[in-house]
This record gives sequence, structure tokens and C-alpha cells, in this order.
Amino acid sequence: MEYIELIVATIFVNNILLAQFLGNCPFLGTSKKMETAAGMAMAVIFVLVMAGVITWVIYAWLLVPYKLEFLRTIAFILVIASLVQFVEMFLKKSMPALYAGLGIFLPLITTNCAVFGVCVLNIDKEFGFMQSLVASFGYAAGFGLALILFAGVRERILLARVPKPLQDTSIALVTAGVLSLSFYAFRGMV
Amino acid sequence: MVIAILVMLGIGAACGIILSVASKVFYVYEDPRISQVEYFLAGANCGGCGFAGCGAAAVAIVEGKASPGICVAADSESAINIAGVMGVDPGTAEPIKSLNTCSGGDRAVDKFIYNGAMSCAAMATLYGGKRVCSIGCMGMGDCIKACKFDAIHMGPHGFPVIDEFKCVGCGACASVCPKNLLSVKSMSQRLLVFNEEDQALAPCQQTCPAEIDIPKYIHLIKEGDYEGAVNTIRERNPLLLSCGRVCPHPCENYCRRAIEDDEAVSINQLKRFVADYEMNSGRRYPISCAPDTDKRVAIIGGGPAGVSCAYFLRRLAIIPRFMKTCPNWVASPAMAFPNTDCPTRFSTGKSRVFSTWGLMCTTTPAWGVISPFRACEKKAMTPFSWASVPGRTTNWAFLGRISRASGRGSISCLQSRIRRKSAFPSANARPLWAVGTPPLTV
Repeated sequence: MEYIELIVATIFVNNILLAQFLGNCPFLGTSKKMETAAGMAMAVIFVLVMAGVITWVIYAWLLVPYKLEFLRTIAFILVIASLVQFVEMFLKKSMPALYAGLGIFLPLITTNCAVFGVCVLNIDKEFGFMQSLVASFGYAAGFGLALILFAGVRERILLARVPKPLQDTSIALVTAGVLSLSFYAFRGMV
Repeated sequence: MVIAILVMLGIGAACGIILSVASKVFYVYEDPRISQVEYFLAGANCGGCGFAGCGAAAVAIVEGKASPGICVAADSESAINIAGVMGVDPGTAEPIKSLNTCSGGDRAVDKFIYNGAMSCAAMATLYGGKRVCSIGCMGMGDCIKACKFDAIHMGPHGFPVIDEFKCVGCGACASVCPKNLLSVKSMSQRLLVFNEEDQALAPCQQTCPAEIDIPKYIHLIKEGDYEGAVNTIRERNPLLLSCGRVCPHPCENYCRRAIEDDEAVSINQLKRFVADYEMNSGRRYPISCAPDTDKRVAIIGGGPAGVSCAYFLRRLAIIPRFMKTCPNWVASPAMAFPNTDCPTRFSTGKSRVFSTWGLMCTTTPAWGVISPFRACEKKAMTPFSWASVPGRTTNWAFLGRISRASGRGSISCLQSRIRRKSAFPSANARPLWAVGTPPLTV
């Protein structure tokens, strides 16, 4: 029950993109086409779950015992960057189709602040190992949900007559704002 | 402190070791040419080639799906380097340039005083612009603002002028023009095109068999830019001296001024004027050609068709070599059109033009002994058995004879001879001067 609550909280109430506003760069950059949005969502879920778990392990088993909590940021970034590289090599060898599908987005996740943000949030909220795992998955799923919803909206906007000054990124930002407001309806659920 | 350094070193080392092991374990063979090709591409990831980026373009080149010259941002040297990596012919990386076809500008009067936003896009929404010409340039310069290479400037007459040397052919200007006046094409795309009925062209230009941009060259003559006018004509028709004299000018029949209770503009006379101007100026205006290729072609016959063929092939960077019987150029008016006022030094002038272009000429004895034709005869595939016709003559000999005939050297003399059929061996035989190239058309 606790984990279901956590999943609902991370996907809807505290949606990483639309409630916490982390990782907005890929949110705007990769949402022009549903296909790439879905690819990015899968890549983020994959990396975020692994990063959340590994950084939790590093924090709890390495940094805390030696009282090195102040090294959290640099250690997490190092781990995330290496992890993404590793995942990229692994996918290229074992799942070339998925690798080709994710394309440029996989290396881009290295610099995605949503990934780092979730790792830090897990620590700040003093989650345990399982909680970190579930929360990481929930946040990543929320990222994917928001991205895919947004991509659907943007594909519809392409068909609409948008005034020239508002075209492309401008209308996307307005849409993101409206989408974010709609996610505020989940506030107070959990 | 020491512990912090050690821990960070430990994490870094662990990550490094894992990654280096992974790079061996998960090694995937990739064609080494891909990275070599990518090195020579511009690296701008502009997408101008139609692929997602330089990496994707490199993969496409290595897989043979794209030619080595697809990169629009890199120079022709990169295409040669890439072709070297791939071991293929670089082909001709022809530059694409923007062209503004509208030279109306301020000549079109205004319908109303416009006080809105200073952009073509805004103005086009208000009755299609302030100028009475609804299809022409509005002169607000959206293309100038769109150009990232400083290649377009507003000309003195209210329409933008493109600097061909600065233009890289990115197409930004063409995409912002609300009237779709600008087009970004390569030279062969512009040369190898025919006017279509549904194109909104001036009636004279639509009627001209050579599809010369008549409004443009008349305007340039008015401006005193004779070189520009010559080059505009030459863009479609290399024989402007000849055509300025003999063209039946169907364009003038359709001239709008003739409809409006006035006489048609003497389009052909203007052409003749600029052609003579160039000839008398003693120099030949250069015209742009595609980058050199090592392709060669032999052209049999130096008549108007052969000369035109050579001209356009040369502009497409294929070097022609003539095989012809006459030492003079038949395409010259002095030779082909024995009209008394034809400048005789024309032919030497023409020869000079061609020699500066590196055109080669082999004078062969006569049509009948040119080997391909002899081969045809031997195989009983004779396209015309004129060799056996009594009283045969060749067109250049015939025309030359007329032009040399003093006092009678004129078109009318030629026509009267034809009428009397004195040049033809018999009434039902094929007219000899129709063999080969008809001299009166281009």
C-alpha cells in the first residue's frame, strides 16, 4: 500500500516535469514527435531506475559511513555519467534496435537534471532502498507520461493555425504551462 | 580530507575500469570509414543534406545511399576528400544559389499608403501588399532579414539583389518570401527547365522559344546595365548576335503594350543592340560555369544547334570538342545569314569566345567522310543517301557561295533561290540544306 501511494505521488502529484519543473530541456526538445517522445520516455525510465538505485547505494554505503555527504553532488554526477555511458555500450551490443531507437537521447540523459534531481530527492526524503527504487521508477514513469501527453498535444498544435510570433517553442511553453496547471488538480490527493 | 579524495578517486577509478572493460566486452564493429567521412563533413549538423545530422549523413554516404557531395555547408574540397575515402567519383558538387525572379520593385505603383509592421509577411495579409502588382516583390525585405550570410541586400529599385558569391543556398530567404519569388536551385536545375503554361510569366517570356527572361533584360537595358542584359539573354540563348537579326520574335506579337493601344516593344532590336554592344566593346562578358569535370563530348557540326549544345554542355562543365567541315562557325550570321549588314568579324569574335572557354575544334573534310556516317552507309543504314544525289552541295558551301556572291548577298536572294528550287537536285528530293542543322532556327 505504501508503495502504491508512493507511485501515485511520484507520477501524478509530484510529477517531475509538471510539478517540480525538472528536466524541461528534453521535455521541450524531444516532444515534437510522438515517436521520439516515447523513445526518450523509455530511455529515462531505464536510466533513472538504475541511477536512483546506484546513487542510493553509493550514498548510504559509501558517503554516509565516511561522513562525506558534502560530496553528494559530484559523486552522483560522476556515477550518472558513467552509468549512461555503460548503458549506451550495453544497448549497442545487446539491443541494437533499441539503441537505434533511442538515438541521441541516451547520451543526452547524462545532462538531464531530472535524473540528478530524483537521486537527490531520494536522499533528501530519507527513502530506504526499496522506496528509492519505487520512487525512481515512479518519477521516471511520470516523466514519460508527461512527455507523451505533451507530444500528443504538440502534434495536434502542428495542425492548428498558430500566429507566427507564437510558433514552435513559444506555443510549446504556453502549452506546457496549461498542462502543468492541469496537473495541479492532483494536489492534496496523497 | 584524505578520505574524501580517496573515495572520489575510488569511485572514479571504479567507473573508469568498468567502462573500459565494458568497451571491450560490448565492442561492436563499426565501419571505420564512417568516422573518416564524418571528419570531412562540415560538422554543423544543419540537416541541409536531408539527414538527421552529420553522423547520419556519414552513415548514409558509407552505405552508398547518398553521394559524397551532399553536404551543403562544406566546400567542394570536402566532397573530393569524402570521395577519396569512399573510392568513388566525387561527381559535380554543384553550388545552389538563390535567385530573385522579380525585378519589378518600385516600378509597380502603390495602391495605398502602408503604415503597418515593416515586414513582407505582415504586409501580404493586407490586400496582398501595397503595390498594384499582386504577384511581385513587396520590397519589405523579409528575405534580407532571413539571410544569415549577408548575401541579400535591398537594391536601388525596391527589390532585393542577391550576392551570388556570398549565397550558400541555404534556402532561408525562399522560405520566408510570402510571394514565393525566390528559388534556390543549382545552375543545371535552372538551365534544364522549360516554362510551363501555368507559370505566371510575362507573355513575351512565355512565348519566347528560348524562354529568355525578356522583362529582366529590357529592364537592365533601361538601367544601362548592358552586361547584365547580355548575360540574361545568354542564360538561355548563346546565339544572341544571330538571333538578334533573324529571330521572328513571336514575343512581340504577345507584348502587352501592343494590346494597350500602343506598339509592341521592339524586343528583338533590343537584343540585337546589346549583342552588338558586347561585340563592339571588344571584350566578352564572362558567364558562370559549373566546376570543371573531366567529361568530354564530341559534337558533330558547328551549326546553331551544335554551338548551343556546346555552350550549355560547357556551362555544365563538360568540355565539348567540335567536328565540323567548315573553318568558320556556321552559327555566325556572316556565314549562315548572308545579309549585307552582318558584321564579318563576328565569326572571329565567336571563335575567340569559344577558345577562351577551352573549346576544341577539329575541321573534318566533309560530312560524307565522317566515320560514323560512313559506317552507317556501309551497313546500309544510310539516314539520307544524299551522296548519290547529282548536283549535291552542303549547306555551308551553299550558304557560303551566296554570301560571297557580291551584291546578291541577302536573305531575299537566298529565299528566291529556294523558291526557284535551284539549290535542289529534283523537285521531290529532300532539300539539302535541311540535312544536318536547319540554319534559321536555334
